[in-house]
Amino acid sequence: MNLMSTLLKRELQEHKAGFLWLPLGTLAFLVILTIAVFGAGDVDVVMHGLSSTDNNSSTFSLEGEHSASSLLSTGLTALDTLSDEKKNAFFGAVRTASSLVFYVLFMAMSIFYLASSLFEERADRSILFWKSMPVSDWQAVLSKLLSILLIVPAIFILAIAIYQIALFSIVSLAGLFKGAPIASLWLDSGLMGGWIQLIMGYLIQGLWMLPLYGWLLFVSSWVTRSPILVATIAPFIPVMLEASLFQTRYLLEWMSAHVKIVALPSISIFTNNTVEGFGLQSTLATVARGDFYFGILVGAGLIAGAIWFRRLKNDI
Amino acid sequence: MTVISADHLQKKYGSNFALDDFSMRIDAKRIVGLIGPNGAGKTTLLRAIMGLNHVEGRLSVLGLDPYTQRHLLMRSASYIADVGTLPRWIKVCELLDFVDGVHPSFNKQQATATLNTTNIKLDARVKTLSKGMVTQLHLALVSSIDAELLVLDEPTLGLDIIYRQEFYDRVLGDFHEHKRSIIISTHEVREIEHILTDVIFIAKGKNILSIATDEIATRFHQLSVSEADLSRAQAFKPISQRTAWQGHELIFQDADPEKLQTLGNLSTPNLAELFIACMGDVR
Repeated sequence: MNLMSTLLKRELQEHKAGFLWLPLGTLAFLVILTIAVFGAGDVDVVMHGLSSTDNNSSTFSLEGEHSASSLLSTGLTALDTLSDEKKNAFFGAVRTASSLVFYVLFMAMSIFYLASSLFEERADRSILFWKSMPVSDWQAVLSKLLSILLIVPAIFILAIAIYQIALFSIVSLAGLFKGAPIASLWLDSGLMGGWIQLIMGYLIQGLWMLPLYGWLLFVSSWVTRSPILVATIAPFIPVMLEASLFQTRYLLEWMSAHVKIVALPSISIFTNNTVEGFGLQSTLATVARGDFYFGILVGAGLIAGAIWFRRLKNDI
Repeated sequence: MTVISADHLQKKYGSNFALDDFSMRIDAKRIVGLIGPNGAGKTTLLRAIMGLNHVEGRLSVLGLDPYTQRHLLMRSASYIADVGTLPRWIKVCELLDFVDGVHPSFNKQQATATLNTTNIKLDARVKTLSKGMVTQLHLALVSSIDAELLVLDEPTLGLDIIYRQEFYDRVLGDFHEHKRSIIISTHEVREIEHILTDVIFIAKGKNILSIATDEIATRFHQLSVSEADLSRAQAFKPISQRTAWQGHELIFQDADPEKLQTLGNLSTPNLAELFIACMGDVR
């Protein structure tokens, strides 16, 4: 256990920029932006599509152009009058909007991290030092995977939680100043539940994407240059083979399914900007899919391949 | 006790043999020099010993199969590849913590104490250190590991003479303190001659000669002869012959020194001379 925690600490030290400064920097940027929008008072905000989906009762529509301060008091007052269902939908959207940017950055960073992890150590020959320590190849590879499955998500979730608390505090302060009601903001926001969903969601989403993670580690373990490029282009060879031989596209569909956000609340750009999956149920539903386990199996196979190559190769 | 036993090792890269039916045995508490020209197979052999390469043949290091049991082997063996394998991004103190965390027989206090005798600051990053300091750091780390075997592959490559001298002094000091087996590979024979107990000459992947340094004087003789005595000396079948400033210099293996003495000036060849003499056959 001590060995694995040392290895995880090592990953964190080496990749401080992506693991620590990226989420904290995003947090700082968003907090400043939030203060600028709600604190300045007279910024014009144009709202699109943020209206009640139930068209029969137009109790909640913020469509159009507003100043931030007027929007705030109208919004907070309107919020109090909403039904529970609509409040949930509204806060679900707020929670999603405030966490999604973190997830997108997390994904982008993870892809670059995993693709270079077993490549860089060969490129700079530090692998000869790492291998001179009593650490087996599977422990070394596992430490990189666990960083992306557990450690880094924990840091990002913490940053999201801090941002959400900051966002609600800033809005509350601004609301208090305008004399708007703020109790609902804290009582009905579902922040705690949202955090639990994020924890489960990052974990399940990570396992859902294990084929991608495994593939990146696998490519990075043997490639002699440009791991990202190889990892991106190589899968299209079997896809094109399948298309020309069988006129089918099962592989492509399977691969695209496993890079989609399925276990976390997200905004689907395909279905008219609707916000999807607020509830824990939709996160847990992923675990009930047979393909979830098949994907883990494929990912595990690729990771085994990465371990095999790491043992074999000391340079590029 | 045998620390390393290698039998009929074979390794091919393309059509070239990096190791060609290579066999050797290294006993405990020896300082062995692995000497050979560039491309002789030194690094391939040392990496195989450290479990980094797969080779054909039978290889046992501290009773383990290095390739499949590398992580176990590294508990009792330390390795310095040529300079610059320490990760460049890491801070010295982070490196100490890392080794402390993964290595059961690392003595962090000892490493810190050793580093305090150098100019290396604990909060410095490896990339800010000079080549010589990186090597000092690496040696400070491995000397503080209570290992039975220390493998050094061209450890002083690219270092200036002062650092090289200091490096080998520290290796020797470390040996006397811990009595572990040490293998050093180099193609700079003269630098390590004085610290070795054994030498192995390697060329084209073959073991050309394995000998304890104190046996060299009894088994090898260098004879300086004049032109007139040359043909009589050649009758004793020298392993090498070269024309020197005054007359000829011949090196003999297992020849009778009493008889050689009558022909000219007899001496013991130094390692460099012996190495060149043995290399004659291979080339």
